[in-house]
Amino acid sequence: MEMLRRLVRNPLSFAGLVILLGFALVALLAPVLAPPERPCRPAAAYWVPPWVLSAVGVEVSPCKPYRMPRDGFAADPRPPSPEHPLGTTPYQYDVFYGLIWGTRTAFRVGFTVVIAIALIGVFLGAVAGYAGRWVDELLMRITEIFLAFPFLVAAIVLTSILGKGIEKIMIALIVFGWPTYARLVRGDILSIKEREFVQAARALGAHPLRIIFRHILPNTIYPVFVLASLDMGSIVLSAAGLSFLGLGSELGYADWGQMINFARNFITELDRYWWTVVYPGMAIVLFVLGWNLLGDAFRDILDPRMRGTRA
Amino acid sequence: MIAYIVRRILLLPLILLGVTLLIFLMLQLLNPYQRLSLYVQESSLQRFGPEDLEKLIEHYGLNDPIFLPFTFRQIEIPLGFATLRLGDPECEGICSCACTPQYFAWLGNVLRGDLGWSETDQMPVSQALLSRIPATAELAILAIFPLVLVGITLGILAAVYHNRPIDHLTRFLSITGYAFPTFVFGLLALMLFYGKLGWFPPGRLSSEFNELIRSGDFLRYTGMNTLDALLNGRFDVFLDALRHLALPVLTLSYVSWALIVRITRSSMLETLRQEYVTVARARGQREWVVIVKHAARNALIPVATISGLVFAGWLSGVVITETIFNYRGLGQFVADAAASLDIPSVLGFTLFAATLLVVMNLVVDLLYALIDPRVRLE
Repeated sequence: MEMLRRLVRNPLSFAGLVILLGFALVALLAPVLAPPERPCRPAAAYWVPPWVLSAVGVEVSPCKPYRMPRDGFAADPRPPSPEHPLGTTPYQYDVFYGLIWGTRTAFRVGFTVVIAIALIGVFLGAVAGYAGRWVDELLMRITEIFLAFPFLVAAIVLTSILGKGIEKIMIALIVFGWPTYARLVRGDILSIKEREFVQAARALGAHPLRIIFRHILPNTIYPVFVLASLDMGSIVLSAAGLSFLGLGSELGYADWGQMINFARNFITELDRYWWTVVYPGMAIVLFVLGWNLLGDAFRDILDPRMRGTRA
Repeated sequence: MIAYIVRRILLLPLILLGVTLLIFLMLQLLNPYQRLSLYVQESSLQRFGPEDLEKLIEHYGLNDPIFLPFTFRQIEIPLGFATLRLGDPECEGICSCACTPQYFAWLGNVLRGDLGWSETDQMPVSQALLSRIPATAELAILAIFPLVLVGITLGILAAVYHNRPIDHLTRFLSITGYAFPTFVFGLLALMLFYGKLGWFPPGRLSSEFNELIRSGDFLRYTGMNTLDALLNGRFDVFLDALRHLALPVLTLSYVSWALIVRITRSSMLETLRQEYVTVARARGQREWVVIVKHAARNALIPVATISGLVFAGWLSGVVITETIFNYRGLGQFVADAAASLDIPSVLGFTLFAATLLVVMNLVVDLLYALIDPRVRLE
């Protein structure tokens, strides 16, 4: 609560919060704002993953709401009109529909990847930092190997091997995303594990796992939160970058990066077809900005050591 | 200190070996036919019949279980999109070293500089990389100087005029700079400065000069257009090259601007609060002497360390920047290769980039240790 109050009081983080709440609302209401051509039945399938529905015995008809509706095959994009409020991309995908459902894609990619890399990173970092000696040495060398690849280049390699698809982008980003977390947590743990309260727990005969999870990790988890909220933005940026290069989602999947990728074919005439870049571009910028503002505020609030240095 | 340096240098080849192993492991997700292109030139592959291909796969052991120092009985890991096969099919329990020729054959090729055949450029990958290095180097060199000079100056100004308009402006720029994807920034820049105003066209040179530099009259000393133009005394070519470089340089470096300004600012704020700065002021030093000689010198140490980060960012950044501006360099090469599933080219660039990054990081860490006597190294 205290944290929420501070987030709201700071104008920058408040702006971030408003932006993200807006996006969350759009993602939540996507089926209402931009109903797919062939609606999903039952409507619950829009909000509950199909495997959960079938687990409780509800039959789900196959539907693909993430596929952008297409109005013809002409290469030239069409300007905004009553039928297509934000115009169409080259090859006639509806920009408005893509923006709305692209919001869901962005949240999905961001949350899946960040949660996964944070879990993997924290686990490996904790093990390395606590165990020390050769375990630490081995894990850190492995981390270094992963860090030796420039992030986007690594993701390019893996996606070009795995093939197209939004899941494959996520896999690629997860495989190369965890080392930063592992390093961060390991460093923090090294400095905490010799403190008195940990020694006390050890002297009382607590199990190492209990010491790690109950005593050490709670004291190192805040920087992970900060990093994770900042990463939400940058992971979505990287995913969009891959899509922009044509290595991302399947053709026609509602994904901001891919919409901009379409615009690449019109590079020399972009000033005539501005809506193909400006709308999806603004969506990405605002989404990332929202997470960055929030992450910065988290850092100021959660990490007292950093307070004041950035004023 | 010396022990640290020696240790780091000794670790370098180990990390690079790890890099090749990791790439090799990822390659196992491809089927043997796809992997064959890393061992045999694609162009000659087309001459072979199916039986020859089988023989080649057999020869390089591409169907064998992959190298692991101690292998177990074979396990297959279904990943949904492919199957990862580890271990040895003819092994019960733990078997000793089952080194198959495929990793070492590939590694041997890599060490000899043979990275396979690039379908994208229709030449060996190593040659393609070499031919494209000058363009990218030119881009990076032209991006680094304004970045360092202006970025650091802005950061210092923001700290000195803390909470004044210039501070707010730089903060705003650096926050938005982070959020702006390179490709959106680049496309918008192209839209405005080429589409609307016609100032800065994409590509590396205008077509008339492109013909000129291919002709025998123009000597290619370095492969960098601007430098070669000056060495040839062709000022018109020089200006044309600069015109084409302006937007790519800006697009590649603006994210780093945000980073540099921000780090300089916060580090400078921290330093200006130190007592020795107050002492310097109290001794009656002029303000700019205090700022430049006393504060900035110490405040810039963290800035030096993030140069490694900036460098890593650029290795990724050139891929997108060069793609947008149709700038024929390493980045466009790997983007084209990846889009057409030209795996040898992608891997060649990746190995190159990873090696460069590892070496660069080592240099930065060592420099850091030299600059900052407070750094104690174990």
